[in-house]
Amino acid sequence: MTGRLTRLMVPALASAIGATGVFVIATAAADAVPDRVLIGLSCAVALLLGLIFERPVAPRELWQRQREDVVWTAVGGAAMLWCAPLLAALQRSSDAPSGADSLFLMTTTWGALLVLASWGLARGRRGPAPLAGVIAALAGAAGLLASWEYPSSFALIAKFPMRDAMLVLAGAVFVAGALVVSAIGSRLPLRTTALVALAGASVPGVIFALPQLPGVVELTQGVLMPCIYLGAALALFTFGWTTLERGTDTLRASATLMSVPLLVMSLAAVEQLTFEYGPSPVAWAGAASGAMALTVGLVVIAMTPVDAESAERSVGGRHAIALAFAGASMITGVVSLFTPALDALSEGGTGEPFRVAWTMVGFESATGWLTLAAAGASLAAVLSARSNDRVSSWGPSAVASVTCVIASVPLRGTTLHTWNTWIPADVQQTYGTEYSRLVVEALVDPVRVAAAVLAVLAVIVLAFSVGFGRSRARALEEAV
Amino acid sequence: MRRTFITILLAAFLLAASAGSVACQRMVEVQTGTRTVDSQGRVLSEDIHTLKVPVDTAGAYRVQTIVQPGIDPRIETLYSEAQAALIAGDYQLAGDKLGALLALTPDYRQATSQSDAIKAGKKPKPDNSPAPKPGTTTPSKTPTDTPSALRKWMPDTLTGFTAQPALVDAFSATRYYKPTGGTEAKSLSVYVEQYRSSAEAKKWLGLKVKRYFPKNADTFRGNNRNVYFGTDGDSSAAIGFASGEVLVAIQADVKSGDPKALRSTLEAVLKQLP
Repeated sequence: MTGRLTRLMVPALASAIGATGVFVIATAAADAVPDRVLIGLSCAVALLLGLIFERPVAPRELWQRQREDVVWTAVGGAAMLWCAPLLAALQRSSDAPSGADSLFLMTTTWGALLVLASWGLARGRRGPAPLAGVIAALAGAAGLLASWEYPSSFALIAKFPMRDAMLVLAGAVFVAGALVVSAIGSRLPLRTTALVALAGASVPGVIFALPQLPGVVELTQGVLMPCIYLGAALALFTFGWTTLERGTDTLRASATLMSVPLLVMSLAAVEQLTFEYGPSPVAWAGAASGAMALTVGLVVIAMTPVDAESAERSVGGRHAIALAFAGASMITGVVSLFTPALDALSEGGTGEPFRVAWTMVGFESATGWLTLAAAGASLAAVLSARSNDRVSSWGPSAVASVTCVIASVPLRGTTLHTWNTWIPADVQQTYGTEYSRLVVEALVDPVRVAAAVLAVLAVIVLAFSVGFGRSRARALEEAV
Repeated sequence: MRRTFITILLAAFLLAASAGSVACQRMVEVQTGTRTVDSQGRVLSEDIHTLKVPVDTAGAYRVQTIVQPGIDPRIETLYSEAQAALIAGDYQLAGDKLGALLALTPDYRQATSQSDAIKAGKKPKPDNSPAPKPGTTTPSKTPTDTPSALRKWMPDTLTGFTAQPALVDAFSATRYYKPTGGTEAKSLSVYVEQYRSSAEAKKWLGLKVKRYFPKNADTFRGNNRNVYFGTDGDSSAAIGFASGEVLVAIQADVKSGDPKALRSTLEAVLKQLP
């Protein structure tokens, strides 16, 4: 077990670090290199690096025996590794959408879409835990990114709704490609899958890059190095993800993509601890809480029981009370997305002063989503325990539920919606200066509090119920 | 198990969405009304009230500031009363009046020195000089031009352009203008910055305008001052001048061709400035 874990840790880290590298380098190099050149050449570089370290197993024989599989894996690779990143790159300008929005939409969201697609394709063989894990991870990532600064530039589907939507659409292309690579590529030898996928991405990548390729001098001076760095990161991600996917499944391998905000945040933390870069704009308590919720969400996804483990193993108690609490928590949690969460005040303006006060509801706040995540995780824990009362089955979801409730406290004053189309441009342009500001204060909403309390109660009752069921079963065994 | 989870989730969403749709027309509280200030920015009166309005109309509500030329009449009255008390030798009353005056304004004519003298037990002479004319202010060595004063260099209307909201910082302001047609310019911006002295403003004219627009350089007379014109030799042209302690730079980007062609457009804009 430990050996298997260690074997999986390396590709998991490679996948997560590779995905982080792809995002960071693509962002840093976006202004220096045309998008088509950057993405296309980096695919080719990744393929070359792959060929240096890995040789395809008997390529001629493979082509003769599994031509169709090779072609489909290449097509999947092209969609996943070239088309999706290029679509995303074309939507991005220097700050449109903002870095926080882009990071959320291009990594956590893409990972979440892939997890959900894998979960949906499992046709009932998986419990609800991955869905609860996705909600917790998304809520945690949103809370983390909304704490990068105050007021934060994290405002999804608000400032650049079309670009945001296109980034999600690019995520759908990524998911389609990844599912093809996962389903058909698995018929090929392990390392060959990654090479074929990269080859599939390199062909259209280079063809589309050719018209925009600069002269030799420009190529060697400013263009080649970003492509090499990005190619290395892409190769790391591709080999890490395919290896992890083969060792576990698509659902768990995809969780690594959702961890990118954590790694980017850790870069900021290391920077603050080791260098003097002036005052940090990060609200560290909120960021740490978001990171905590994101981490437990990923753990829930990663610890989803494989099909064989999720077989029915009920030992008596059906946890009816815990289910009632969790169900009620889920309903109130969803309702609380539409109940008041934050009091907001915006004032300023460069000419005539403007001052407006309004109330934000749960879905505009980090706490609203974390409460829903807590409720979802508690319900997932109870439903998992009803079919399998092993702690490994329901424990991660139960821990996630309580963690999300705890994380929601430091994030109670964090908004996910700083940008409003109806606030005049001169006020929003200068948020954070002495001329205009946005102040957000947390409200205590009884519906949200009830959802959180019910979620925790469900977990407590579930733990007692499982313990009671076991002791009763043991007593019955002894009596027999 | 999955079905139970999804059923509960969907049911809750439907319930909440139907409740949310009832309350979807968000109302916000805005402030509107007028604030009257004197020429030194002191608030004379306020008629501001809060309204609850639909969110899509919120941007239309602002607090209008009316600048009333001259000094707050309360200050002049208190100062006159203090001088009368000094003439009458009632230093206690004079001190009280000056104290009340200084609570309204940090300084006015000899109020501070007279107040300090009374506190030190001295007997200051009354001020017999005539009262300042309405609208006049005491010159200061530090920059005093307020952001709103900088706005005079970026009018709301420029022929051939539509003004965008001005971006105003402590001692600088920028305003972009969209061309409405009939001009060589693709875009136009006016940048204004206040410095401590006119010498500094002239120095920064060199560093901020002449340095970046060195091609086709020419200095001409416009609006009774020396104005610099130059291009970057690529796509942009600018004119710049120093007006006392203020640096004004007007920059435009050409649609196509030689940016030198923008000179007539920039000169036309210049004529519309103070």
